[in-house]
Amino acid sequence: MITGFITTPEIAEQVNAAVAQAFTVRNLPQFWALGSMPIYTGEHAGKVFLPADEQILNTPLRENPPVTPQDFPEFEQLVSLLGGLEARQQIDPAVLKDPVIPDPEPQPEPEPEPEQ
Amino acid sequence: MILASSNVSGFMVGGQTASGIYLGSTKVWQSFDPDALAYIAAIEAQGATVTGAQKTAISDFVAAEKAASRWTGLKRFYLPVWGIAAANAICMKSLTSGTFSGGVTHAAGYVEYNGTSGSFNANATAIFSDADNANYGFLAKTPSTIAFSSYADFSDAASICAASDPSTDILLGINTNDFGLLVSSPFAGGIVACDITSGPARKYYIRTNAGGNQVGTDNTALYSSTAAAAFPQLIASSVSVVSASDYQMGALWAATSYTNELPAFTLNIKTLWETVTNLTLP
Repeated sequence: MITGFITTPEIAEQVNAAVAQAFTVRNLPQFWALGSMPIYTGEHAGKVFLPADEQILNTPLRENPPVTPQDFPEFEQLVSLLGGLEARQQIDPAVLKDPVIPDPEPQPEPEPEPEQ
Repeated sequence: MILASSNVSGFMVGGQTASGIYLGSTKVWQSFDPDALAYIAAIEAQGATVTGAQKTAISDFVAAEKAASRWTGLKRFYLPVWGIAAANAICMKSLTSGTFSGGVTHAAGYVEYNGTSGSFNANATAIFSDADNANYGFLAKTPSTIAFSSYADFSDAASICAASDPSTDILLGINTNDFGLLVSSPFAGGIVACDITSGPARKYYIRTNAGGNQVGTDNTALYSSTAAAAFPQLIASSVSVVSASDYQMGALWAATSYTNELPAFTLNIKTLWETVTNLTLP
């Protein structure tokens, strides 16, 4: 199971755009994003999952000692858009897998080349 | 300055790009490659702590790649060993920044994807114009314990794909719809490189601590998909998830084809990573 926010694609887009803006207003490249993953199956199919467990929210971003996403003034506002940290849910990551894309299948091994 | 001939055994410039000044075999002055210095400055500006030994290792790597005429062909090279996202996201060659998202641990010596949501996007677009002239690979400190697959679109012409099944190991290929089986025994980690030249001719090379081995030139199509997907070793501008990996990554790159240079190239990467991290390649 993984922890994060479940929301609509529209709100997810707003949140990710706000995260991106937090970098641009500081003249920084966007080296970190919350990300969003479409939910393909299950009761939340059609919605979007924003991964947000404690490890993600405490990612060391930059500076020494490093600041984390929770250290940014924008953090509380963004989290409130999603209903607060208590609104996070746990889901089975299997619902995030696109059912259209097949899994790789093993093939017979080729003849190895001589060691160089 | 006068050097007494009785106590100076020699004077020479080390390396093909003047990496330093030596008295005999002892280096007494370190010259740093300017591109290496630019990278070091960029990561230090983001908070990375880079020791003198690490700076030397980075400079030696760049100098060696230039001496071997491989530096120009290197499009993206990431060394995510600094423990912080901003520094880890900086490309040593282009100084552009990629984007980490989701569950990625930034440890000393590597980044670790959590197997579900972690990814890295190099934000690179159209860095290749020829689908039959590319090299792509990564350094895995540990192998993936779960099956994963990822594509990387370098341009409209080329896709680079990586997949792994713990029971059948890494499969790596270049070009949409083309996969080749890389190894048959469980992949325990190491440097994995895939190279394609016109023909098409595909080579797969693995370097571990025990040595290097070109393991095959297979062009067998494994499976096809029209969806470009990458997760976690993503070097592309737009991708969709197929399935995620949980391995520890110490380096990641994309380059033009290195043809017969894979042993030397991967050895240089091994030396760089091991010296910078004080870890040992599996």
